[in-house]
Formats: sequence, structure tokens, C-alpha cells
Amino acid sequence: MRKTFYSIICLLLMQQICFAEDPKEIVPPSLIFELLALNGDLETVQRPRYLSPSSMEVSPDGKFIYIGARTAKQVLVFSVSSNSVTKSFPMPNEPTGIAVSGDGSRLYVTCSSERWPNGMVCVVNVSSGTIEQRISAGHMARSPVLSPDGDMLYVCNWMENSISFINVVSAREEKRVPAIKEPYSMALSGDGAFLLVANMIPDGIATDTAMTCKVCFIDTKTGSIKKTLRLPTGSHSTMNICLTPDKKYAFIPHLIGRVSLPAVTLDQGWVHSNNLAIIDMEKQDLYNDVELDDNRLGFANPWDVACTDDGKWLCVAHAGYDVLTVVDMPAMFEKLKGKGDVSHEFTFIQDLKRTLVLRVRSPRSVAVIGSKAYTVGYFSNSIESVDLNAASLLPQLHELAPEKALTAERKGESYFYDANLCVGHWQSCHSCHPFTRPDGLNWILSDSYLNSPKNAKSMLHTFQTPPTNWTGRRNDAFESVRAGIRLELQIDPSAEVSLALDTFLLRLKPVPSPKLVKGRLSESAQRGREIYYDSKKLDCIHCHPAPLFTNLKNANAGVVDIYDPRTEWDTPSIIECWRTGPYNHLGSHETIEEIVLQPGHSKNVKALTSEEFRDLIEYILSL
Amino acid sequence: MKKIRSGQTVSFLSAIFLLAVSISARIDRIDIFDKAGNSLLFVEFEYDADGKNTGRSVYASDSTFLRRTVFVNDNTGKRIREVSFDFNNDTIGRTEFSTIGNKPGISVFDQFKLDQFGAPVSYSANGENSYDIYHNGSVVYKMRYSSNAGGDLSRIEVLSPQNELLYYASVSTPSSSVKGYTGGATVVPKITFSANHFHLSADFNSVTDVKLCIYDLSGRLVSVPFSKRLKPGLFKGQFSIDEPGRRLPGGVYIARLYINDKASASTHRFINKAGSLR
Repeated sequence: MRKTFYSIICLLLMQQICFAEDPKEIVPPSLIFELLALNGDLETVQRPRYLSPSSMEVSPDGKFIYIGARTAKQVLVFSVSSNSVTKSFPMPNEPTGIAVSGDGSRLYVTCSSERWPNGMVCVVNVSSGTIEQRISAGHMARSPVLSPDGDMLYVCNWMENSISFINVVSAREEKRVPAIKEPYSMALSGDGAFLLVANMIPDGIATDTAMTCKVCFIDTKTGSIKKTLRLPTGSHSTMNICLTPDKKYAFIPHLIGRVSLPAVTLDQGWVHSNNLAIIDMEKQDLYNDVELDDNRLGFANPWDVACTDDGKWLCVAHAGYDVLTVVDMPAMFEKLKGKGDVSHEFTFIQDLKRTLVLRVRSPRSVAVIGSKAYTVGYFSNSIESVDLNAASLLPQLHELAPEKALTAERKGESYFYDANLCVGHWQSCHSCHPFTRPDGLNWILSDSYLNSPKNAKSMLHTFQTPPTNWTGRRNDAFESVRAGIRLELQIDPSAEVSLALDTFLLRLKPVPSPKLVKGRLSESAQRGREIYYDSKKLDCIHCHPAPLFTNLKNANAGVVDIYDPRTEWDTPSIIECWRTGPYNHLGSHETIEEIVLQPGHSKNVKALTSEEFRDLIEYILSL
Repeated sequence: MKKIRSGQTVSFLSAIFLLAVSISARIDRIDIFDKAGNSLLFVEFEYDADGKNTGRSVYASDSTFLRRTVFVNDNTGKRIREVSFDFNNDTIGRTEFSTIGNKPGISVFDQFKLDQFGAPVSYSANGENSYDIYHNGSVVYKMRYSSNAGGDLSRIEVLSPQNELLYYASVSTPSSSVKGYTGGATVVPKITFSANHFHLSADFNSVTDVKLCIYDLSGRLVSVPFSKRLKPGLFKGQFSIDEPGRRLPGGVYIARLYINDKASASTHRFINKAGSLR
């Protein structure tokens, strides 16, 4: 009996031993490499580990600049005395913004990425370089701002259209309040009573010819929007905010799209001008809006702005044109006294500014210490400094890390943001397709039929979903890229630039929707998925079948277009439609609900119960 | 059968069992960290009824699902491909296995067949537990595997060619504790008291031990109404202040949460209104 028992036991165990896989087969070296490389941590031929410096913050003693190196997932500590990087702090995700505690002992680094957009704030101990805490924030969290008492951190949840209020003492997000559309940057009033939030993309429908993006004032006690300001009509891409040293004014660089004009020329800001909004923080009103371009030369894509502590100089980094504009700030305010709107006066600050051509590529951040300005370029592994008080601006370049050769994909990305390719440096591809996605506006392109407006399209999956254009008249994105260079940048498309842009656009990946719960469909979205795929109930999958969610054909969705007699339009992919509103070729529907309910768009949708309809929309917005 | 209760027999069986576990312990999960100990990712492995690894799911360290991968075998059972799916179960990529100059290797493609790495990746042993990783013709990284005292694979290190530690993975098996996110809870659990109940909500990056201790005003421990090992992700619930079968008298108490045996910074003073027994 005992023998039998032991035999059975031994046989069972032997069987287990025999069937057990070698752990190294389950976790081979190639798997570890794959996991880390797909996560952007290990370098590959396709994806070298570039720094991509995109944010800066100065230590309270002015001795160091903390630089958020996005794709390297690091915060670099740059010493201004040695002009070198002295330390680097690894981050678990891409750093998108930095705030420094009043005593300089802690950094609050917002981290998020297109791969892993769930935002977090990493609390970094500056002396040890360790992350003491991670605090959850919203989707694509960025632009952290610390309250004057240092207890509350405010964070823009860019793609979630909200602001997080994070108590850094209890390490807890206390509330999340709504902003308007794509809050990208933020500043706090001097007394800490309200936040000034710049919404990057216009809300509303694109057929509204007065469409523009808005800035809003949020009460820090209640979290409610107290006031909303419209920037000049056609404004968008508000990339940053900076307060004057006395906190009386805020500067917001932005673009103005002349959407009501056919885009036949670029000269004199015909399509885009590059501006600076000045907000009166006491009156909570638009004080004025200054043209940053010259009469015959655009200064594309103003991205960041900073002032010297003595209030003498205002610096604007132009990411598209690779220049730094330095404005005599007191003289500018003196000249603005009693002036009406100067947002279209190209020469208004011409005699008040100096221009410095930078060697860093795509400067997206500028910081000021004393009379020195520092800029970093997204496509450069270096930082450039210049003494603003010097008679002539002589920049110095300091290496942050050895430069790496650009792959075709990275070259394409740099070209996408590069207005040096454009006649007159007026705009880059990013101007109409911010971060390769739509700007929400309607454009009358120069070769459009009957000068009819069309809503800007996302570049995501553009190569995989031919034909391109709303009319489908271009065969594919290959053709559209070259047409875009020829018509919108007004240069001959070189093979090098075109092919690099092709490579970059070909490899774009969708950003997971903020509607997902920990990366998965919510219960409502799961129910909505069942409805979406039920062809007996609805006809969604006929025109928007997975995996690209378009059948690549033209269709009549019942949209009324008073400008264009045609009725059939390219069926767009609905991947990422949570961020691509307003909808249809004319941008005349603000929400997905509206376009789905549009008569002629979908059969039987009105037969759904309100719960089923809600679930369906939840699913569509989760894609 | 009664004889197996004798000490000798039990020891013998235990020894065999431990041996079996140490040899065959399957890998449940790996957690990947950067050199500073920041948790980046974790992977959970799937097995069929025979204990054969059939797939895995990859998560960001806050438990956000990134992708699920299943294996495709040929008719001899040899794995020829891995296919990855997104949250919607749509294909987002595949990994192809090949041999590159006598070395096992992979190529990773997205759903549009675009090579994600630009060149295959291969590896070869460089010692019993060390590997050289080849990419584009040269050694780009090294990896070192190490085991715990029980012989189970416990750690995999990613090193630069100059042997500088870059990343590491800690390996969890049924016989070893899950490592998870070691930098502390992402969010301090939220706790509120009402009558003789408390509400607890938390969002953890990893498996976390949570314990609530109730003290009287003299500092004496009077109750431990909650002590659980919680899975990563959202947790929310309402619980009684009383321990099962033992009612806590009405009065003023102080509660303190312990996360992974570490006391949280704040305490909670509350009035217990002595409710009914569960």
C-alpha cells in the first residue's frame, strides 16, 4: 500500500518536473529586450534613445536648471556654473513638466506618454535623486504648478480636458475639475486665488467662423471656471504661459489661423500668423495680442515664453523657426498704452525686438536666470545660453549628451515641426496638424473645389487608410504629403524631406483613450461593443469595420454642406475620435453623439434605448 | 494511509515536494524596474491545464493594460510566432522567431508589418547564466540571470556592454513573494469613518498588504478589523470597525493604516457608535 502510494506521488511529481518549462524559455533574453524596447527604454536601430528636452525649471537658488528629457525618460540637472549635466534622475515615464518646491528640496515631475498616457506626479528628492512618491493624475498629465504655500499642485490633464488638484502633503489627488478643450499649460495668479488655463484647441463647431481657442480662469477654492476669454478669432496652439515678474500680466504664445481666407499664399500671415496674447491678470481680460512675425517673414510656432526677473526682457522661443525673440518689455507695454487690437500689425514690435537664430532644433522651452536665457531644442541634445544684456546676442552651446544620428523616422518628425522648410517661415505641418492631429478648424485649401472649407484631418493611420482628403481625390498619403509640402509650405518637395515625413507618419500610433479604465474597456464600453458589432441591430460595422474602423470608401452621412454640392465624403477612421472633434468633413458636429444621430448617417440608431446609446458612444470614444 | 502521518514520512514527502517546487516552480509574473528601482512594467504569464506557457499580458506599473500576447505553434508544437492584441482584441503586432547566425533571435512587427526595431535581435550564452544581446551586428546589451536560495529564477539584469546595470526584472513564482512596485503605494488609501463602519478606497500599483489598527486613547491596540493582501488596481469597500464576533465598545479611538507593514503618516481619530455585531 505504502509502495503504491509513494510510487504515485513520485510519478505525479516527476510528471510535473517533466512538464515544467525552463524559466529561461518562458522569460528568454529576447523577451526582456522586447518588453523594454517597446516601452522606449532600450535603444534599437529604429528608435535610438534621443533626449528630446522639452521642459525646464530653475532651482530657487538659480544654480541649476532641471530639464525634462522626454524620450530619454530623465530629468537632467544642468549646472549653470559648470555648464554641464551633473546628475540625471530616471523617471518611470516621459517627463512632461517640472515644478520645484520653494526650498528646492523636491521636484514635482509630471510624467505621461502616448504609450502610457495615465498621468502621474513623481515627487523627486533632489539630493538623493530618488522618487519618494508617485501620485496619480489624469490623462497626458503635464504643466505642474505649485501653490504659493507649496501644499497644492495643479496639473493639466491635457487629453482629458481637466485639471487635477493634488495635495502634495497627503500625496492625494483631491479633485479633478473640468477645463475646456485640451488644457496644455497653466499659471497661477500671484495670490494663488485662480489658475489661468490655456486650452490648446478651439471648442465648438468649425463652421462657426468666429471659432477660437479659449483661456479660462479657475477658482482654486471651488475648482470652477469663473471666467472664459476668447483669444482673437482663429487662435489655437496655446503652448505655454508665463507671468510678468509683478504677476500683473500673463503671456501666451499662440497661432492665428485665417480660416476664412483661401490658403492661396502664406505671405503676411495669410494662412497663419504667430502671436502673443497678453492677459491682464487683475481684470481677467485680454489686454492685447501682439504679432510676433515680421512683415515679410514668419516666426513660426512660438512655443515657450519667459521674462527676466527685472522685467526688462521678454523671450519667446519659436520652435518652428529655431529662433529666440527678445522683446524690450517695458517699451512694448509703453507702446501698447491706449492701443486697440494690434494682433494684425506686423511691424508693431519690430523696433522693440531682437532676434537670435538658435543652433538647437525646435526650441520648446526657455528659462531665464538673471540676464541669461537658456533654450533647449527637442531635436538637439544641447542647451543654448545667451546674455540678454549684451550689446549683441552671442549664444553659447553646451552639450547635454552626445548627439545621435537621426533615423528617417526622427528626421521626418523634425521636418513635421520645421517651418524652415516653408517659404517665409510662416508655418510648419504642426501648425495645422498640432502633434499630427487636427487643429479643429476648417481650412479652404488653395486647390479646393469651389473654395469650400474642409475640416483639418488627423495624420494618424493616414497611410493605412487611402484615399486621402475628404473628397478622396488623392490616391494615398504618399501623394498628399507631397501636395501638402507644395501647397501649404510652398516649396518643391525634395525626396529626402518627403520620404522622411512618410516614414514618420507611417509609424504613428494611436494614443489610448482617456475613456479606458486601466487600459481596458469600461463596463459600459463593453456593452457598447456588443451593440456596435451587432449587425442586426446597427450598421456601424458596414462603414467603420475593425481594425482600422473605416471601409476606405466614400459615403453620404447626411451632412448638410452649403458650400459644396457633393454629398459623399471619405469615411474616416474612428480610432482616436475622442480627440478629433468637431466631426465630419465640415466640422459641423461638435460631439460624436450628434454625428451618430445625424439623419442619414446610421440606420436604427434611434431604436436604441438611451442606455444602449450611451454604451455605444462610450465604446466609440474608447477606441 | 495512516502511516503518512508519521514524522519520517512527512519529512520525506516534504523534501520531495520542495524539490519538485524548486525545480518546476512556474513563473507567474515578472516586474521590470529601472536601475533606480522605479517600477516600469509587469508581465503576467498564462498557462494551460498542462502547465505549458501559452501567453502573457503586459501592464504598465500602475496596472494599466498594454497588450496581451498569445503564442502560435506549428503542428509539432514548436512556437513559431507570437501575436499581440490590444484592449479591443485587435491585433497590434507580432513577434517572429528566427535563427540569426546560429543564435536564436526575434523580429517584432506592428500590425502593418512595420519592423519595430529596425533589425532582428538575437542572443547567445556567454557563461552559464549570462547572455550577450546582438542587434544590428554587435553586442548592445548583456543580460544576467540569477536564482534565489531555492534555485528558482529570481532576477534578470539588463547590463550595458560595459556591465553597467540599466534595468532589472524580479521574477515571481508561487514559492516566492510578488515583488511588484517597491516605491510605496501610488496613492495613500483614502479612509473615512461613519458610525461603526469605515470606507476604504485605494489604487495600488502592485500587490500590497493593508492593515488597519484601532487604538484606544491610551495607545493600546484594541482591534485589527482589516488585514488583507490587496491585488493591484482599484479597491473600494465598506467594513465594520468590530473584529468578527467581538464588538468594539463605543468611544473615541485612533486608527492607523499600515501599508506593507509601514505605518502611514497620518492617523484618524473617530467616534465609534458601537453598532450591532455582524
